[in-house]
Amino acid sequence: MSFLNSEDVPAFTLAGFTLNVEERATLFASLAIKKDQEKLPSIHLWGKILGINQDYLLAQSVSATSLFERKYYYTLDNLNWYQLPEVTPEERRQADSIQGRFFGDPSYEHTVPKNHEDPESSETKMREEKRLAATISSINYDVEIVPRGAYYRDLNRVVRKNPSFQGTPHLLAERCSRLPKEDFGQTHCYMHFRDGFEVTTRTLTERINKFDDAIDIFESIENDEPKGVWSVQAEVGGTVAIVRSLQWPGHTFIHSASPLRFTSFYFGTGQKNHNIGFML
Amino acid sequence: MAEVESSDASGPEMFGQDQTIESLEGQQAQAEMGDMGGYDTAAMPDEMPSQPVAEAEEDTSIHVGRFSRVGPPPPKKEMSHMPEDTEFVLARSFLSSKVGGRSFSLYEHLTSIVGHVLETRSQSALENFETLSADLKRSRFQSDVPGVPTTLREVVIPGPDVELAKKQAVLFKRLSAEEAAEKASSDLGEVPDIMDLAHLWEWAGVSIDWMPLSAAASVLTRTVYQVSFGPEETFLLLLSIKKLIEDKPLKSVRLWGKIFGTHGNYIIVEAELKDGATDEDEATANAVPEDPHAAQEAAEAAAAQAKAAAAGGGSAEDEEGSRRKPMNPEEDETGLPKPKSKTINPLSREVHVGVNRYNYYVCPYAGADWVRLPDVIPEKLQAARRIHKYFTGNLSTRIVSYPAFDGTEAQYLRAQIARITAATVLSPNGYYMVDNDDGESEESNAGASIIVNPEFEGFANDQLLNLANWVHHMPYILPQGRVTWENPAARGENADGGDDEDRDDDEGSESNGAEAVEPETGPTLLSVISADEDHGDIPSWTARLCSPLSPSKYSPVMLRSTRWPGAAVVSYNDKFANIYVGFGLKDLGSPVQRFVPPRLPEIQREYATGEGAEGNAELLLEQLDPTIEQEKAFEDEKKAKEAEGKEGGEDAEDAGDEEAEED
Repeated sequence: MSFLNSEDVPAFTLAGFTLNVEERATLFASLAIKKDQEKLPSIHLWGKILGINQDYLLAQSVSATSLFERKYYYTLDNLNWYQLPEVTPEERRQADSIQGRFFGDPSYEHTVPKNHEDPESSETKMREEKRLAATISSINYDVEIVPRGAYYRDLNRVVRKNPSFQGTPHLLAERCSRLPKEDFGQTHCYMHFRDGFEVTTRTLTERINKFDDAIDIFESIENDEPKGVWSVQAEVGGTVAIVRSLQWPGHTFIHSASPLRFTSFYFGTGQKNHNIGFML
Repeated sequence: MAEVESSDASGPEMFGQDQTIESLEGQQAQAEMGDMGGYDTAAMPDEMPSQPVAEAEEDTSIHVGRFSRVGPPPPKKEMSHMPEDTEFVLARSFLSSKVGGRSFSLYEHLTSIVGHVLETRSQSALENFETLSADLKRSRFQSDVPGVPTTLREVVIPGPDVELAKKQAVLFKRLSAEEAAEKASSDLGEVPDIMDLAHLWEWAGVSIDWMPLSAAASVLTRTVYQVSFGPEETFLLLLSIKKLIEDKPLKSVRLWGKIFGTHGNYIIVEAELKDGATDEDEATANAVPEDPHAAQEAAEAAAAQAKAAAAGGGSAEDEEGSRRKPMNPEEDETGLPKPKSKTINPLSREVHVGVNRYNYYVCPYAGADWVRLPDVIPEKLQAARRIHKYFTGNLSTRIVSYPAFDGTEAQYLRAQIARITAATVLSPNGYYMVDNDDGESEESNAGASIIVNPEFEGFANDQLLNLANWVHHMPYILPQGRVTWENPAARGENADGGDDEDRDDDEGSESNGAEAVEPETGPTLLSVISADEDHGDIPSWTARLCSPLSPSKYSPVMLRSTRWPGAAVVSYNDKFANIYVGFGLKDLGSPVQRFVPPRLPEIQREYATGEGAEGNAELLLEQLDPTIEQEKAFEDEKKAKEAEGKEGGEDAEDAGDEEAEED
């Protein structure tokens, strides 16, 4: 559920973008074929990166053993999906310094500017395919979020989907009428969906009044810097929350309690907003 | 009990009446006493009471006999002569009195207990009597505070969806036949067929937020909180736009698009006023930006106003200019300077002299009230080019930025809309043509007026992919922030804003302090977009077939702007639609995306007198503080001067300087 299914696509009309009829018709069929060919446990649409000449549609496959192990696929013709290469942290850093648009040509070579911290480095080239892979994994690491309580950690410290999750409280109908309006925009209900969160004194003191060992297993987005990097909006009379990342404009998370849906989609140019400090 | 029955089922209310009515009842009862015997046994069951309370009481009176076996027998015989006794009336009035502002009398309470027991026929009524009494009492609890619901009942506070539904329900009102006829006779503006256009936009992957549907949900008795998406929301937006057209004197509107803010969004429509119609919102809309300014100085409101009047600079003049503007549509002919841009409508506006620009209305969601945005002020537009900020979703937010914008979000939004419109609103080449009747104005790009070409046949879809077949039909905005150039030198004192020379509207601003004497020029109206400057290393437009699989005849064509991400044009044979859905910000460039605010000005130097002293702190002369005596002497002197009446002018000047600094 946290990963996009075909029935979630229309929900994103609320966020201002959608997939057109042809894409909806073709993508899910070709994804099913890909899943079968590669014997993948699952494959989900991830987003669309708008290129100059062509647009990439992207999908991810989540490994059966860990929620955070992903494989990424792209397509340019809505039919043939190709796997994106693995990227090293260094490559990810390099990709981060490329700021131009994607071209829609996997073999296009982007120029990586010199690393200012390392005087010996020189300009290098990076294939767009690599950059694409790095961008997706950066976006997933930086801004993939889930509502608090949607996942829990069992006794074996395995993160699992919480079957009894009913939606973030402020979306639940009976509560939403009593909360003051400001409460809709609460960021503490959403957490980074990424590995490596450890309980520290800092996190404990932050959540001292409402810490639950089982579900507080991720970093909350509340403390992300700079303040206001997330735009949380209540739509449809407060029954749907739309969380937009301003750090990666185009990344949209949508959450509604009935039907229970929390999922995100990326629809944008694949460029990180490096200027956010000036913009809030 | 008998009285209650005879008093015509208005029982409960009657309890509360005063003594005279009580006695009246008594008399009535007396008159009916004759058939009391038959009443008790036969007449009663036939009577169908209309009120539940009355029913309960009726029951009581019927079954009293039965219960009399258990309790002390209510002496029927006695009753028959009781009414004659004033004691009964007194006792009853005592029982039904509401002492101490109680809203319920003991009599009523007893009646309802008995009624309840009989209704439920509980066998354990005696055992539970106290509880029953207490429960009934509690259920009647009312708070002293008016409007506060009883604490013991479940309270349903309507959720935000109900509010929304109420707002939207206004749109669903149908007109009576006469009203409809009246409407039809008066020439209403044109409502765009956005249901149809929405279909086109969907092909381009753009959706204009098919808003909240909970109104529709409640109306159609779907599950209220079920979220669904579909044409219903588009329809709501359509109705909302229709209402706007009915309420305001608008000739036509266009759904311009949507801009996301951090806390709320704006749905924006572009509207054209009817010929000769006056826009009553104009004053309010244009006054809005001044409001926060005034609020800031609320404490010294009167003084500040006087000051501003005396200063005659900055904001006061802007305001003046924007107000004067509509009165003076021929300002270009006269060449008189006005610090006011005009967004000229190139369609038919020039043919009919009058208001010749678009108004923009915004609302947060379909069904909400439309708010008219203020007009563009050139200085604000120039300032908007220099900043790069997200919208918040609240029009009255003051923009805090460097370089300073000095205005509210409404102005910023309007400026951005103007920029986006000028840069991204396209039409197929040939759809519009220059109106040759207006020969004179053809030379300047703004003056040219365009009309829809009646002979235009449209392009085939694959031809639309060619950028050479698309033109800008909105006038280019000069670096000055206006469409027609005006000589800032001739403008006099307020040359400040005018001599900023952004050579390119789309390339941000470069200000050099030189006087602008040479008129600024830009691309002419209806210039082809393939002639647009590239956006860094990438073309400024990308064209694409929306559905490569369909035969090109059935596949809409989409153009996206790289300079203004979010702006798109979709066309399908002879139809085309411009839309903007995005953050309302310009792309910062390619391949490097950096927002570089202008450098801070150098720190001002210390003021010093004497030769070579400027900037040299060591040469500053330290002055002794004046003593009290000196100050007093100075005060006296000042007073004396004031008395002479010379001081007035200088004071005003000082005030003016202060004001200018603040600005």
